[in-house]
Amino acid sequence: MNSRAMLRDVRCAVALAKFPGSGRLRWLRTHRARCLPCQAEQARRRKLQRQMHDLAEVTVPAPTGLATDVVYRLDRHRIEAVRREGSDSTGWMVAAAAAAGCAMALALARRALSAV
Amino acid sequence: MHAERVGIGRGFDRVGDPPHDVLVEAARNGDQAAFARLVAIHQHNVFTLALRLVADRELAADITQNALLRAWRAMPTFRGEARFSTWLHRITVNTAYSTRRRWRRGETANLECAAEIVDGSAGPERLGISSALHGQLHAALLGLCETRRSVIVLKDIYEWSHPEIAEHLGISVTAAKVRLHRARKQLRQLLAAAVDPSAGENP
Repeated sequence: MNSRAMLRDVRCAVALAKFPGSGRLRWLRTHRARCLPCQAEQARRRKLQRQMHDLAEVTVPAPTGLATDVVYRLDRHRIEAVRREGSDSTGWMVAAAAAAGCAMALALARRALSAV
Repeated sequence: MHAERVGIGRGFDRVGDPPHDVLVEAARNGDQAAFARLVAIHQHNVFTLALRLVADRELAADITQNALLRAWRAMPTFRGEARFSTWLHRITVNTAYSTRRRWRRGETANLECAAEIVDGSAGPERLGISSALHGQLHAALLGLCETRRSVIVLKDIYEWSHPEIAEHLGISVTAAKVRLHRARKQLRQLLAAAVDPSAGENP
């Protein structure tokens, strides 16, 4: 490869790399305006970008029953939460009743002892 | 709150349904029926994103379910600063990565792209794509390793910014840009190789 071809390849590589601020370089602008392979490559890249962007509109259907499963799991979570809340409040009531029972038993025992 | 885009075939605004924003607001206030409707609307988009990230239908279905459940739990925190679908996408990406990490915990996962073996020969069917128009592109995407594929999917398909990608993937912005550059280059090579098999021999 001769030096001119090598320089052209380097310029093409730099032109396609789109370094920040490269648009201000006059030689690069001239190269981009004149180099047909560069322009073709740019067009190919733009087309690929468009195709990628179009994929956003392509949706793959979710497996059948997926939404139902999610709703079922939500329901299950809710039921468990309610049950937990329920069991928590029942526990408090049992504990409170037990504490009251103990207090009453202690008071009765004290009364019995003092009577003796 | 951002108004959600309404489109035919996207499942939005089925006859008799309240508007999307009303559903979101109701779900935010704990209305499970409204959220169930949102699940029905967005499940395909969430599944598609998960599938593009992990390229495995079963795993993508798991990720979709977990992401939607996480979304329900996080509903009260949704402030409407971004579109609901964008918010769901963020949750899906996070879920995909945590699920993937759990999945790989027992394996000796090599995160280096060069060492990752990707079976691109399975074709677009693995992604559930039958359209000839996008089949080749999807097959080429499958040929990318997961780290590169996730960056290119999020940037070029879902139009995330570099800082967003960096934040969600736990990498620096520079690393995200480098990965994107390499992913695009590899994708072009894979597409070229698909057209002319001799073109992809020296990547």
